[in-house]
Amino acid sequence: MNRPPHSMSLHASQFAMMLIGCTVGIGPLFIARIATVASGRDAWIVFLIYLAIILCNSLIMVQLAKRFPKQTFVQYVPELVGTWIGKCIGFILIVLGILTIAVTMKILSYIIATYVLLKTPMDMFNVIILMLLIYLVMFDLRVMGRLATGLFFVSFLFSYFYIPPVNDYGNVLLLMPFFENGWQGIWKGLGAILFSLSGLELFLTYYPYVDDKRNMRKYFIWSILFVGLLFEISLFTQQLVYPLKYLAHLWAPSIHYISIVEFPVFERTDAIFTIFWFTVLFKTAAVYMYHSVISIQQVFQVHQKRIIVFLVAVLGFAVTKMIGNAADIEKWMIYVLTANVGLSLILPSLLLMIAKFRRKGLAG
Amino acid sequence: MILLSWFRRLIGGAEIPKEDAQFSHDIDKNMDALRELFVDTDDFRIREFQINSTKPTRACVIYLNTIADEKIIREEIMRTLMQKLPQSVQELRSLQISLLQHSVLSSSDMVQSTSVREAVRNMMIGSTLLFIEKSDQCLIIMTPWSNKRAISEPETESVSRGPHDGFTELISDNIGMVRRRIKDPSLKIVSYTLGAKTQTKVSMMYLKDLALPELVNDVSERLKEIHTDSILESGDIEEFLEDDALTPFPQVEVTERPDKSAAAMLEGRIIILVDGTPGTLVVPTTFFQLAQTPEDHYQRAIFSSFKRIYRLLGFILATSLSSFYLALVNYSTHLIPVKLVPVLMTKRAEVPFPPLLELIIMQVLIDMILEGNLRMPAKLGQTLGVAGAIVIGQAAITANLITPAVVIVVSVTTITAYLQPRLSNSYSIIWIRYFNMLIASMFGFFGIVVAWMFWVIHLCSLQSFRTAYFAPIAPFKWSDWKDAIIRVPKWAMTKQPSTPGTLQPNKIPKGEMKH
Repeated sequence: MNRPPHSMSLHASQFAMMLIGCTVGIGPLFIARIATVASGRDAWIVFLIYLAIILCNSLIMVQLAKRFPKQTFVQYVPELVGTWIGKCIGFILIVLGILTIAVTMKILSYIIATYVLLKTPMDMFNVIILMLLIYLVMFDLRVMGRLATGLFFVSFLFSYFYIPPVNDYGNVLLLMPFFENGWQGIWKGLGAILFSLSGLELFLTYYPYVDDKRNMRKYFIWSILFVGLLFEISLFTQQLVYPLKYLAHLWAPSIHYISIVEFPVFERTDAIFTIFWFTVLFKTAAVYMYHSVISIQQVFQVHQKRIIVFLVAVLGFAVTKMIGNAADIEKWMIYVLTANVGLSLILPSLLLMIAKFRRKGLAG
Repeated sequence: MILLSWFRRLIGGAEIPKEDAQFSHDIDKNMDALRELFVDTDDFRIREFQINSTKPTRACVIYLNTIADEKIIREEIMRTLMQKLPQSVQELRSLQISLLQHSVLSSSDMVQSTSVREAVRNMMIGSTLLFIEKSDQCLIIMTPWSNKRAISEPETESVSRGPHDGFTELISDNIGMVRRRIKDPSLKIVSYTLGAKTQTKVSMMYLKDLALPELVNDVSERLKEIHTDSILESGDIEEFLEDDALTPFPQVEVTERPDKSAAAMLEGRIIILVDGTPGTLVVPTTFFQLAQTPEDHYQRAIFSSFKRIYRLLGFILATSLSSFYLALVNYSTHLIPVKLVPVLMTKRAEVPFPPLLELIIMQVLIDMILEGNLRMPAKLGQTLGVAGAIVIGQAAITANLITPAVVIVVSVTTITAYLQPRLSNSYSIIWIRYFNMLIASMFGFFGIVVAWMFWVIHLCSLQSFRTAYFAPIAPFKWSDWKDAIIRVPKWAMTKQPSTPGTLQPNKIPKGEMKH
């Protein structure tokens, strides 16, 4: 055998598709209900504001990452805030990574157990998904990048079904009136939907592995805009279709939406969406798993990848056993993903200021 | 005798002498040594004669008469030397091998050697050794005899439009067929002798101004690293060359068509020819290149694109239709159209086997019939096909051993599997199909999605000579889509494909481009 050498390099476009893949996974399933409960009919406006905030934050993340082009987040944090605090932050990121893998797997297995295989135990799905994840993460980062590119087109399935003109179920009156609850409702909604764009913080982990860093900012911004567009369309169309009170009581409105709306051309949309959600949720779990493995290797200075991959898989499986029913899944999801985004909103600005003040990194 | 005993010690059980064994100045010793080496070799010939110089000189030719051309030996070597030599040579006091090489013999391919190993090696490929007395050198003269077959169209790669010639078993003819298509001095041929026992000539051909040097080096290194005793077919070196031998997807393309080989070289790829077989290897290759035929480029773009889409659709059907059927019947009956449910389920209720077993029995039988058909004479093969169709298709349904739906599913998957231009692809499909069937029988549609995710990850991880196997999808290369799943018209293909990449990215040199 003439196996090629291990490669940890990614193209900027591949990285962008990885980010899109892992961000699109969970958010669209729940965002319509959670945002509507918090902000009522203004939920779609809330998301636009949130998107603008995330875009500004992404520029800060780019600035921070550019100062440490050859280091991951967990590698340079100790340089900025001291070894112990840095290691603690790294450890928190690892824990959050493993929790995200578990939550993603649980959502996926719950969807399968509810809509596809009703009699099979959920643990069976978790084991199968983990086996597939282990198989993927054992390869180098290049394979992950290629897979993200190859599966990117599946994202378009999603966007097709959410273009409002394709269905005549919508009623614009359901969006009226604007600013029903004023700025207070919007502020409340912003807090509630923080979780939805979890995944973008992984930019800080994967940045050093990107080959063409000059295009990185462009691709990062475009990926956020693409994801934002999908989310906005999803939110907007579901608000057009469902009355407010009805939407507030659906667990995953997106799944309900595809089962009640008749789409043109394709009849068995549920089958297509099973493929879509399996693909994107799997990608989410895979990207977080790779992130966790890289972070563990760097925080604990361990080089045996194989052992770490199995360790992360076992820990992920153990956490899924702690998550119970649908309500529990949602609770865990909101906590974990909000913590992910919260860290990515607070830490980069703080660390960039420290880096500038202490003249650390390249620009320093 | 000393040389002889030295040979015995040296050789032991092996037939080929060691690298440093040298010939003696004594012609008799040299003859005895070779006679000893080729003992019990019926086609071994030593012919002694005298060279017609001023002072007659003893000489001998040694060859294997089954692979050396005796007519050339007789007329071009012996007759020339036994007749009157040129005046300039006659005047010399003593004859030397170098003199015969440069002034007497007219053969275009001759080399002097003192190495026994080199001489024996050349004898094995049809050369004749010429010894003269008092010289420790021999002249190795290429006199190969070949019983070559006529050039014909490869059976598995026939086309309705395009050239109808195919490679033969003779490597020199095959190189010539490619050379006639690419009249460019940058066409390079590097040859190796591989296989300790078979001493097979293996040649690597590429265009120096197109093929990436690192690719050329990689192929060359891999060829040099092949250590095996026999190479009888290109398949013998294929597994040494590929990046991953434990995958159902072939990473080396095999063709018997000179036009396809030339086209591959014009894209910066490398072809590897092996003496004794028409099967030529093309490297690197991608998943989508394996589904292309030369005819795709000879037909109009729009038809070629349709054919390629058919083949891709055929691949999906061949690998997934059986598993799709299992998922529908076992788990997702609600997805079956309402009018079809009673028909399908009534028949199913009459069959004693579970759907998976029913499908596997049927599929295995069909695969066995196909395998048997490959080995049987054409007339018997037809009988086997008819018997198989009647027994399996009709009698098995009547006996309620299988359902008609399974017959349809298996027939469609079998036909679509052979839509692929290469048999190796069809074998890959069979492998993938069984894997998918097994998973789908356990987990329905979820199983199919998991199985395909596994295959996609696997495809993304594969490399063929450091080229991404699943390109241009992953990694995504927009420019390569012009000649992957579809084919755009020739005038739109101004750039070389970026997989594997070439030294000249433009197909037509910039200065010569017409606007």
